[in-house]
Amino acid sequence: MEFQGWLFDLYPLESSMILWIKDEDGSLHRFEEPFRPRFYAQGKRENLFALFDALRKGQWTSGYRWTRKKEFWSGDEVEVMEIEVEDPERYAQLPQILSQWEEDITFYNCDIPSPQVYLYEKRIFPTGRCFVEAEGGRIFEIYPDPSESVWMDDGDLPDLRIMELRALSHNGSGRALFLECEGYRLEMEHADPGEIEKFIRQFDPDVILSDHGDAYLFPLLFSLERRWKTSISWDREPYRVERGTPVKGHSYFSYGRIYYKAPGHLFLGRWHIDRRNSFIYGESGIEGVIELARLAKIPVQRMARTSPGTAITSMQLDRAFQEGILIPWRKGEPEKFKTAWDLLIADKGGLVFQPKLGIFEDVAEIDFASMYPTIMAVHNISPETVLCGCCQNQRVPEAGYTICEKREGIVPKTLRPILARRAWLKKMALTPPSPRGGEGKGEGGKREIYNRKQTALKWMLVTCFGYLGYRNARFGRIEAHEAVTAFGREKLLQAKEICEEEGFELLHAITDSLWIRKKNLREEEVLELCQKISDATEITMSLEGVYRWMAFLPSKVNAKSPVANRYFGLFKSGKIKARGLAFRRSDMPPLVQEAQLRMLEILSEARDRKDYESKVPKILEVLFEYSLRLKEGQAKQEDLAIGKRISQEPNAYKVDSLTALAAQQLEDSGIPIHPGEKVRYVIKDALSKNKDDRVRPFPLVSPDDSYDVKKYQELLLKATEELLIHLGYNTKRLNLTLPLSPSWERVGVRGCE
Amino acid sequence: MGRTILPFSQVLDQEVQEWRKFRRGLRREDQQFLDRLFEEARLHVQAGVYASRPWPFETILVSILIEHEKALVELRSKLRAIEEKEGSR
Repeated sequence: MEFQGWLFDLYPLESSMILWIKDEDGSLHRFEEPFRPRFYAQGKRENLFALFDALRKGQWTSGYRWTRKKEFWSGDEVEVMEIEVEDPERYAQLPQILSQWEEDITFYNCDIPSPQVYLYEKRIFPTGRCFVEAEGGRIFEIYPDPSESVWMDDGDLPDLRIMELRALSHNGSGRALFLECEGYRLEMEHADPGEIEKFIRQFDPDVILSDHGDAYLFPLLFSLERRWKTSISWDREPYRVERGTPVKGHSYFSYGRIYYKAPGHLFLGRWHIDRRNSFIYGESGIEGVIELARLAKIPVQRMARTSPGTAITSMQLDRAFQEGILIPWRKGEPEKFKTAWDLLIADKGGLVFQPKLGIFEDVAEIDFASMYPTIMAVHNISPETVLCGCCQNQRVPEAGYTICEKREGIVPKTLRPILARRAWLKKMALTPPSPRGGEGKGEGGKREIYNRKQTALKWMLVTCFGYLGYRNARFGRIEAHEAVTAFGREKLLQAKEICEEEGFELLHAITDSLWIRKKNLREEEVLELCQKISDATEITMSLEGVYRWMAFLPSKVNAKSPVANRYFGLFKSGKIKARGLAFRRSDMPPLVQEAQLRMLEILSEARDRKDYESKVPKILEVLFEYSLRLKEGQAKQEDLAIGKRISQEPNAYKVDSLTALAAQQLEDSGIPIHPGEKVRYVIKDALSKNKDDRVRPFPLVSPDDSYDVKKYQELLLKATEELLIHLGYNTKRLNLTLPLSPSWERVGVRGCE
Repeated sequence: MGRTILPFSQVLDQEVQEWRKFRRGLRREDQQFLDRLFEEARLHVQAGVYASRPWPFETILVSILIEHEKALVELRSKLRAIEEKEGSR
């Protein structure tokens, strides 16, 4: 029987790979294929034969053959033993048993998740169209539809039945559940497994989108099922598959922050995506998750729970697989020995020119597009090409490392099509809708989809650079990472020099962006400048925008010292761009964020610096309004919530910061909280002698809890100061302008004496 | 885009730390001037990063001197302007 459709899900089960394929009518079909993944071993023949004998006796394998493959670091062909493993389950256990042989034998392709190996081998991908030859659900052959590719415009989402699942927290108990599918809603005061089962059977959703399904909802539902001695058909397998004991969640550190990741609950033949436990979903929606799953050949559910870094690594593995390159097990290459001097020269990041402080007019911001990934692609930077050993060119600035001229590296090869696709998606996202259709919903929605996909790719490109320098990454090597930043500094300095030659003044620059100023600056001349820089550096320099005015803020600690990440300005387009302001920070209460946003709205009408100054009275009005709301006790508790991520276990804190106290209160009342999770709280009385009275975390806040007016007032004043500091208004002066404020009265009295 | 922390700004912080005892030995009214010197050095961190000279304190001193030179030039030209105004009167 020949069959056509698109690949919905796949996973290993017992000795087979199970595939779910949707046909053109939207109905789903289950197939299975016995799958024998292969790995490679290199070493002395006698050792390899001994290994094979041992594996055969343990029923791990029944066959081998000799073959020649390319070694990753040198590019040389080597002879290896290709060993076929009995089934995917045994393949997954390989890393544990092979380590005893490691002394004599080098292993390759032995630690890759089996669905990925399957997809690489068959050259098919999640949601991709494929042809199947099968008999009674058993696959004889499966191959991709040659007319489709991951690099094409794949248009809209595939046809999927989506069910939503979340807790209704209005009564606080958290047991109330909400289900929705195709417009039908089911609300339950207490989760009832029988009702849920009926709902699932009726709608048979392809996707379950949940909020906190991994961390909270499914553990709760599974325990309910056990208690009621019933089971809900979360999986689509014809026979019930026992759920393994779930792995524990973990906290991890990334880009200067601790995160908490809940263990995943994946279903068989049905996607469960937890919107709150998916970085990629949070950044780019389901379109982004699917985009990466297609490119990386990682099943959708796993893609939703993994990082963009895993996606880019999988693309590199796929690339290596297709080219017959042996995939090293773990990372074998140590950092090459370096003298202290080399370290001093090479181990630096991007360049930051501290901004000049003040409010400026005639400012343009120009950015290098995808600077680091483009550098890798343009200059062939890859772990195996930097310091290659066959060439001598000392091409890398500052460090003087040589880059291979004979081989194209695996990283640039993987990156090039991603860069091209992202540029194309970005262009599509900006293309105005056709004039005939007007700003139709369909057109705008389509642009949004392009935008989500390009955002997903952006994250993949960003992490690619990070992985290049990560010691334990499979395709990482610190010297390659250093080469990228060295080229980056070179290009930023080149750009700065060209700007200055053309009569622009450098206000601020950071890694890949520059803020420049010139009297009566015109957009056309900046575009010309960008073209010059693009030509000189081989990286596209684009105009982010021209500002009507632009303010760089000083550090919070020292009013005279500039910092890189606090600024705001108004583009000619009428859009405000701001970094590091209160309204963007989740540790600021919504009330303060809202006040600052309203002030910015007023400033978005200021055509120039003078106009900006004229807006001060209006801004002060907003300050008064919110300050009054605080003082009269009208602020809602939700609007006063301060959210902070905790970085250690609640009881490990040595200092009683408000955050630590809030986390401890949660823990004491039996609500577990892990490092990396956020605690939200209201400040009750920051200076109270009784530590318990200083803060109250959600959901322990009760309606009669009062709040610390003075503390919130301070935050409000600071948020106002951010916008007015360059006009001479600091918090002290702002406080004095507040009508009826206690300090104002005090000043008044003193004035009379 | 991923930003890497600047090692040189850490070097600068370290250097400030190493001058802590010296700072403590200063009169209170003088301490702020020492602080200000180091803040001036901070304005040129990127050049320090790029140059990566083996003795960071040299870089810090030259950074401070640049700010002093700028201040001197500005003061000189202001003074000249005032003198010219007075001379013409």
